[in-house]
Amino acid sequence: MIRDISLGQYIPGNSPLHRADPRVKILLTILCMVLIFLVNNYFNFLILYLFTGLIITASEIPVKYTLKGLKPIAIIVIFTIVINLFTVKGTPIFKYGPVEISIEGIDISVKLALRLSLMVIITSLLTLTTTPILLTDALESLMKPLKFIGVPVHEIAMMMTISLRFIPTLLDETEKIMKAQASRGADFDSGNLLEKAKSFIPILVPLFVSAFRRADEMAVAMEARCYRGSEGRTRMKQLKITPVDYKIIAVTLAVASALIYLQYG
Amino acid sequence: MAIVVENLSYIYLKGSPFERKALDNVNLVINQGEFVGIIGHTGSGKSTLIQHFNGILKPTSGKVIVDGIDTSNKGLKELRKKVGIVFQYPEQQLFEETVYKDIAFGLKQLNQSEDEIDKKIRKVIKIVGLDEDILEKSPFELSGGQKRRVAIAGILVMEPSILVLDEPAAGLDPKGRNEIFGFLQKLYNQTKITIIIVSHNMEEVAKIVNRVIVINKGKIAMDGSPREVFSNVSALENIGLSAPQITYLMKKLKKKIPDLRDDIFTVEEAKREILRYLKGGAHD
Amino acid sequence: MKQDMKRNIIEIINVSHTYKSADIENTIEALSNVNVAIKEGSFVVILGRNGSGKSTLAKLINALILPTEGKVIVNGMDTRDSKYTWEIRRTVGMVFQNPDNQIIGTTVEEDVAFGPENLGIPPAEIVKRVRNSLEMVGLSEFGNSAPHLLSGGQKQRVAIAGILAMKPKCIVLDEATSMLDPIGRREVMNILQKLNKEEGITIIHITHNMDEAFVADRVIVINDGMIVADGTPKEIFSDVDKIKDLGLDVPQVTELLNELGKYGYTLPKGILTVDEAFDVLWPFLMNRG
Repeated sequence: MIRDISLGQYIPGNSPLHRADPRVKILLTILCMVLIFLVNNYFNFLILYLFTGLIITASEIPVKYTLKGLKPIAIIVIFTIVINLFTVKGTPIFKYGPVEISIEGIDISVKLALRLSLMVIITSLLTLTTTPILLTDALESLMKPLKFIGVPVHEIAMMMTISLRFIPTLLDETEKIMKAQASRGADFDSGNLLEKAKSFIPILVPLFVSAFRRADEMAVAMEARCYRGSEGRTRMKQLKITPVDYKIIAVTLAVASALIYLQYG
Repeated sequence: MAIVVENLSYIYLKGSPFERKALDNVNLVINQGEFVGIIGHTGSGKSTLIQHFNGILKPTSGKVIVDGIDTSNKGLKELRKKVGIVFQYPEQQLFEETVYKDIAFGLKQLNQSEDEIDKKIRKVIKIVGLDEDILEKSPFELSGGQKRRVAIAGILVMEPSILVLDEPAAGLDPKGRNEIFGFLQKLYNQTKITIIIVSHNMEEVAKIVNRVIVINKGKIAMDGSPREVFSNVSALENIGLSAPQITYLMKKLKKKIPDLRDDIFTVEEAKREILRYLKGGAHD
Repeated sequence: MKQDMKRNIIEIINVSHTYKSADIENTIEALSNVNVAIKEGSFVVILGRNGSGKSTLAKLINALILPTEGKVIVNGMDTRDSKYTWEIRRTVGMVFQNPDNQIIGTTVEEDVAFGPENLGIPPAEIVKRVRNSLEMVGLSEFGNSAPHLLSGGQKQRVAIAGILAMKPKCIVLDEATSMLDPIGRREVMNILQKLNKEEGITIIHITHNMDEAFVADRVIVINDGMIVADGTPKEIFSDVDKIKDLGLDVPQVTELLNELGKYGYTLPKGILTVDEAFDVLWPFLMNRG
């Protein structure tokens, strides 16, 4: 079913992580990304992983969901590991003809895998505990300074909001059109690549026609509700920093300082 | 060419937190030449049921057998030709540059000759009550009612022996609706193909079908002739549906005048019954 | 309040509207010389076939389009004067046909807040308005739901709540029930009646569904861009043949009495409900005509 994609990654909950200000979550996620690249020994990796474990526990999200994001990138991880394994030169521990594996190669590959996995887990934690709309709001708020250099921050955020709103509708519609065309004998599976691409025309044309009609009606509906850009506009939801945020910031900063001390101190 | 549904259950999003049972152990036989109305609320499972008839949906458990073909099997091209399904708002699937090409789409998939296709298109455009000169127009410049009929023609042109329509008159005005139901009635009378209509409109359904199936919460709640189903007003109301307005009037009158019949659901019938009573005649 | 009821909230004066197109052949006159005034606090149903010009009328009232000829006055403001545009749209809210294409927010709450946000209402007040509006349409528990998971009737109620949050005097519904199932229709109609009776909001409901016309104070029938009938539901449905000629429906009981009339029986016209028909037919039948 297409619909389950449309539900997004967000898993409803009321954990400290769910309640935290999305801006704080975004900034701390960026901090974690930096840490992941600063850390360079296995003991510190262990600390980072333990810290991530702590966050997962605090988020009250089943571990399997947090690891779900790893599946699609597994191929990329394996590919980069293999490349590094065979191309990095150093003290050889295995040699067969031209193929040579070195200790340094293993070291770099393992660390790379550890880094990539951790990045995916931490970003999924952000999207698992934050609704898309809050993410958009947070981005709008964080990007506000860019307004002064002429970036249309409000318009970008509004576009993101409307896209988020319409993704499930258009996915439903795609499914419906596919069923309707299949009922008329359309075949989406057989034939060569060109034929396959051609078989999607009966889906794409109606989908575009409908998307344009929707956009048109949406624009009229927005106008009827007095929408006239960001000027004079207020927001119902005010993002607010609460005690939960201070705690999360404190813990993360403590771990970050410790790691930096251990790494460079 | 019958549809046999055996212990059919269907579960949406099985295994996810959003799992929902849409059909629950449905058993049903629809014979060749029946004109069936399926009624029920949105979410009752009626649309899910009809999508099993051409294998667009596969049973979670149980079986659907159409003309001896098990719809769980592969290679359903033949089946899709036999069972034509017209989805809700079918005009939303139009995509070709001209009406002609759009109607031809299904036949092209079946590799029929140009001559054959041309003959069939000219025949079908008359059945749905449109002029031949519409064939060269773009489907996107037609009116809502015309688009709807072109879309239905795109299914009819494949000459299915079972025609299924999900809310064929949704969103149309009364005139547009009468046109659709009018040509369906005519089509049925002339060809005796099996027609299955899913609808909310009891009064319309009561007028044209010869069997009504009521679906509620994924199960068949009632099944019988319009007379049987609509005279059981309390059972209909228990599941939040209602009988045609005229049935309520006749029921109310019967309480005062026992000689009147109350198993009536069209204006025409009510008129005849009242005239009979006024002339003091006996029941037909 | 009694005096207010008599005030015209909307005046459409000598209005014609033409959709211009590059080639003259495609120029369509959607409305021609329409005159109509709508009293504040009334419940008006506009009936007409698809393409009769009724949607054009709706858009004119909301200043989404401007009349080619004549003028439209909303609560004393001329829609042609652009300084009133936003005040007019705040005064007259619009619900459109397709529930999916007018919900902007990714949650119900967000969507209801959209209008007041555009008006620059302070956040605390928006929260209050959103809560009240959702309560009025009976969706208090759905504030955090995603719109695409709601039923059609619920979506249209969200759209109505979104308008209520702007504190309008009038709501125009442009075929807002035509894509709904009977339950969804009933939900929307019940809310409209409640808003009209309890909040005094003027309702202009455009539809081609005659069942929805009975509850109105006044029914206006439009055909080919012109008003062809205007009166109470009883008056309108008295002329069964005319309504049918216009491609519209009449209730089954109305039609029955009309048919019986053709056999020379004298029966009252404009009977719309089962109870009314029963009250007429029972004594009539007891006396065998």
